[in-house]
Amino acid sequence: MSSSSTTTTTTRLLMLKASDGVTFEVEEAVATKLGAINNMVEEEGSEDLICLPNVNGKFLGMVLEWCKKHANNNTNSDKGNDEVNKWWDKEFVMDLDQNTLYHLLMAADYLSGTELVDLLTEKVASMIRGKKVEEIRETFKIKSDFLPGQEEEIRKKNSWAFE
Amino acid sequence: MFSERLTGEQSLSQDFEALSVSRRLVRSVSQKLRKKNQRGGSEEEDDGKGISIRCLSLYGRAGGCKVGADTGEEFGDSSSRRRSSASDEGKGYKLICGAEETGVDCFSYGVKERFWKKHNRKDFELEESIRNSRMHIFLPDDILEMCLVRLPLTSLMTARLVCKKWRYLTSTPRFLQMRREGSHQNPWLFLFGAVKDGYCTGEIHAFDVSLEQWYRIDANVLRGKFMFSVASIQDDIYIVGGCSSLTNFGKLDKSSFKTHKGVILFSPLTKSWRKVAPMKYARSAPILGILEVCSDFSAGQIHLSRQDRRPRTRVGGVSDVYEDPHRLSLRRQYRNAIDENEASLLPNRKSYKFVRPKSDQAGTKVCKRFVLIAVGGHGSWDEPLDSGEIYDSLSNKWTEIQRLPVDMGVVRSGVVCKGIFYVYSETDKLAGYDIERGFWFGIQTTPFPPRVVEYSPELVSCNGQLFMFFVSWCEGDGQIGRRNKAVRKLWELDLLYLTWTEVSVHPDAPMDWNAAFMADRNLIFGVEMFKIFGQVLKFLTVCDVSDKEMHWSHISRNHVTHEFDAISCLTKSMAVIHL
Repeated sequence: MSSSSTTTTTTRLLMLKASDGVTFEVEEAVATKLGAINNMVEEEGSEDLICLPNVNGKFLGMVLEWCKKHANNNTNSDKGNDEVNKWWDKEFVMDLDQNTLYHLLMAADYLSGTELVDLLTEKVASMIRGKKVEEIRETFKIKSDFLPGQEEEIRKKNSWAFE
Repeated sequence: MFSERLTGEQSLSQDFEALSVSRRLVRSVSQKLRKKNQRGGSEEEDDGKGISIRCLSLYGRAGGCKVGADTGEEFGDSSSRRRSSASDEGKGYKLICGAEETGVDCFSYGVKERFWKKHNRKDFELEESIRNSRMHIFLPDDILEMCLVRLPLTSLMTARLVCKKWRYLTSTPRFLQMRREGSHQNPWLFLFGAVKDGYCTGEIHAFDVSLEQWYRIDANVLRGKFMFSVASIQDDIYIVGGCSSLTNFGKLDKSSFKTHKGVILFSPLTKSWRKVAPMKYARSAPILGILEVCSDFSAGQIHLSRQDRRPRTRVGGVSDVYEDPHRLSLRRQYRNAIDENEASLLPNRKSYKFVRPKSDQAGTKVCKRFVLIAVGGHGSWDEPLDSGEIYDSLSNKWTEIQRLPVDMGVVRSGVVCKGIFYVYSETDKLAGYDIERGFWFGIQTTPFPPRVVEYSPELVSCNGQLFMFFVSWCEGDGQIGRRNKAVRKLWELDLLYLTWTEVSVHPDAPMDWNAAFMADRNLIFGVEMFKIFGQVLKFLTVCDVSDKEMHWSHISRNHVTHEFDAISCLTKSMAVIHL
């Protein structure tokens, strides 16, 4: 397997240090799933300790967990893995509470984990899709700040796209 | 000259125009302001040292959302799109999403690259504790945007009602641009020209293909109009020409009618209507072609001046006196004055155009520019026209183009494919108009597929390919007693060798002589409407061209057309856009 041989020869461990001091030791191939870390490794390859002052250890751990799954599944690239990844992604986002989801999303965005951002933003979008205004407000704990009548006015203006 | 005839619809939409101008002004001013802010920010970008110092202090005040956000904005890198609601909309925004001051916005996004190595553990613990003390956190605007951009149109419309911030975020030109570029848009069909109880209702029936849901849009501007043509580009629909009854307002009445040269732009996303420059000639059912061009495009102007223009002749011409028996010329003068006023408004409109479809990001200066071609159709006296004209969205002007080739006959269908506007005539002639170089050329193809002449051929362009729908008789299969039936087949023209190849057979028996077919991206949509058992039925079908099999499937079981008059089959027109 040529693809795996390249990864094994270059396997290098990176230390990632989160904002709360928690450190993670991960394979380079895993960490470079994150665009930001990939850039850093390419730019200044010599350093093995990377501090991530904007990410809490808890969420960094989760992000890395996701990266690991995807990096592992990508090494032997056959079609079935797409399915596995999809299934695993589904599991990954299923039980996230909103707070975790948000922090994870921000961490993923900060670390430029594009695929993960896609996954998580899709999750947020799915919380909005097909819902009524009140339900969305409820979900996202948002208070309407429209003046009385204003909402109705907008609703009327866009009326064709509503039920 | 009949080009100077008045158009009633102009006056109808005048009021509307006046209203929308002021709104546009407000919008463009606020956008300019924002741009200014961003530019100011990027100038100080190089001052790396200054940034990190400030950044430290930023963490120190992590709890104060406004401080953090504003600093991030001023010293942010120009590439990151971070914007805080506070700096965008003034302080008023703070209240929008409840009283919570979140620490979330304080992520020092703007300076993150320079800040990898800095260790601010203490500050972050502070921030963390503040954050945890909140009941609920909010996403930064741009991440929220990334979520909202994934919504289908109907959900987006609902999201706009949630709060002012959401409404703002989902209405910016940049957001709309992001949405267009992403893959989260779905096709919508817009069915025009419904006639009920003899009246042209002006109603538009919009169909959300992905959710199989119909919506009705009331369009007063279109009330009483019939035989107009529509063409869509991106998320706008141009409604061109058409007729309206002079004696029975609102009725479809062909005994005394007026043909219009007015053009209306309909933006379904904002449900707004805008009048654009009227054509030079009044036309009903013109054949349209539309194309996006780059901003330095010149639509065959040079060639146009060289070209020998044939003297304008009218079939069954009527003198000007006849055309204007009741001193309507006064109105005509008045109208001309308005047209001049419009011209003076043009700079305004241009800048609006620059702003509206584009992102407010610096560096994306490419402006969307469209050309719309209208040829043929019927003129003020219902005579077939062989003239053509081209509209440039940048200058908001129509320019006459070369007339159709002499022996062309009446054109029935047209479409733009790879910079060429192809038209097909009743007499089975195909011609192309080179939009950039500005001339017509006849196209000899071999062999023409046989067709049943009663059915109008339909040109469709999709994925850079040119297709045509022909209805032809089935080949006899040798069995006696079988009645020969007509089938509608889709043929593709090989643009290099100019040969037709049959690529697909439409599953429905052709019932509608005027079936409309429209393509957007890789999908061809067809609508057939016909009256049977006392009801007007419509069949919507779709075919994915990128699919090898080119299989047709039926969509929509809803019967929105039941109360239509049979004449709707003739007056209908359709546009497809991804929204």
